[in-house]
Amino acid sequence: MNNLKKTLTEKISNTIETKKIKPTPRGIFVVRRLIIWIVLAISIIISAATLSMIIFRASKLRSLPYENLPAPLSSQFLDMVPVIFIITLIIGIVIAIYEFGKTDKGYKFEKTKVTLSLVGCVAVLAAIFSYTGVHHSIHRFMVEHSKLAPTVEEIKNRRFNNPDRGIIRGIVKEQILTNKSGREVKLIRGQNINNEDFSSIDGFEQPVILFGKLVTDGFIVCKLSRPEKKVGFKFKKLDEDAEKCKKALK
Amino acid sequence: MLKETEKKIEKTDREIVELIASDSSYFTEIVNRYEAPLMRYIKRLGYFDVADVEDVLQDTFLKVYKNLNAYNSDLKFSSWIYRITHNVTIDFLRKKLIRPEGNYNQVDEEFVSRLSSDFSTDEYTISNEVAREISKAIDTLKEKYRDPIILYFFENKSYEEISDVLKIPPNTVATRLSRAKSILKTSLKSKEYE
Repeated sequence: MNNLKKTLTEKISNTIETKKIKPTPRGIFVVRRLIIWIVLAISIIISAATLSMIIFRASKLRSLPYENLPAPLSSQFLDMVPVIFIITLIIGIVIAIYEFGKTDKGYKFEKTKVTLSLVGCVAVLAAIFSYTGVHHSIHRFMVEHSKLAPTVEEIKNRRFNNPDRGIIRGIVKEQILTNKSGREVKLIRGQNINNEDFSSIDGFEQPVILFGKLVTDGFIVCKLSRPEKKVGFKFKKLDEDAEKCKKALK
Repeated sequence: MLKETEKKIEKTDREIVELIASDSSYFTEIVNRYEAPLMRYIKRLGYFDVADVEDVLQDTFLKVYKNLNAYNSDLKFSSWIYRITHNVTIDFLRKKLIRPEGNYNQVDEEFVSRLSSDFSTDEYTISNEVAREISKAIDTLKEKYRDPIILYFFENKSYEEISDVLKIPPNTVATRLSRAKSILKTSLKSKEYE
């Protein structure tokens, strides 16, 4: 046994000498640990930013453009939470869990507790982003500049700018409605709307929704949705109102 | 020379590790201290011939030497070196496509005594023969149950140390040990020992 001991110790010493093996510098391990923590932090921040963008979209898209025009639940969910957001959120949390497990003491904690704690961190940070208004800037940068998902404005137009259905949306100036894509439609007063209401459309600073019928000369206005008045429309009533207007204009 | 050797023996593992930074000859003390226990542990993890055990042991010590600066003194040095040994051995077995099965799980008084406290019931007491059967049954366990059992019964590690070696939560160690004991008790009952 002593001979074997000597041989092994000698073998190891010889290998260390001949191959000039040295202990890996401490700095390398410090950097590795730092990288793990940085990746963990970035994953949490990205997940929280994604969640805050979902919160932002939920608050803006729930009812458009006025409180009394809520969208159907299914289209609400898909507009609020584009697939890319779900993927980013899940990947961020998974990476955070994985990186936490690689930390010095990470293995001592149960996976379930780690997952719940990290999801909690993401939720708290997302709430902070939302409360401070940072989520708006994040959303503007991520969605409007990088085109990762349709913007709030694009969704509003998709929902409410359907001339063939009898609904148009845009800014009105001198009886001409211009929508987001720059298309201009001349407004024609229909029989069901009085002069005063028709003239008042010009004064709206925000986009308005008009119901009526699209004809070759323009759009015959039958009804308008005023931002300052609670008209009590429901989204599915939009189509009904548009149909009624079109029938009335026939 | 003798005084120097005596001085080395008096020092703790942590102190030796610190001294290696200035004098690499102190590493031989680590090898001397851990060669025998690690060799036994490696043999418990799988079937090896003599040359393979030496190779694994040598690879283990070289890895320990290279990663000395990664050692965190919050952890017991023995747990850390056992962790490296475990990982190197399992990697070796996987490369050779050998299912890890121990062949060095010897029955001794200490093993019987530890078993008795966990396995003795009104139905049966632990004799050497029963202990030998349990030792064989341990070899048939899945890796995730066998590893904690080997560390607990044969290496006399605590739950905390097993957690550090296998990098699993202490609660998971307790659960797996409990499950492993349950499987072994079932196996024992089926052999109808008294």
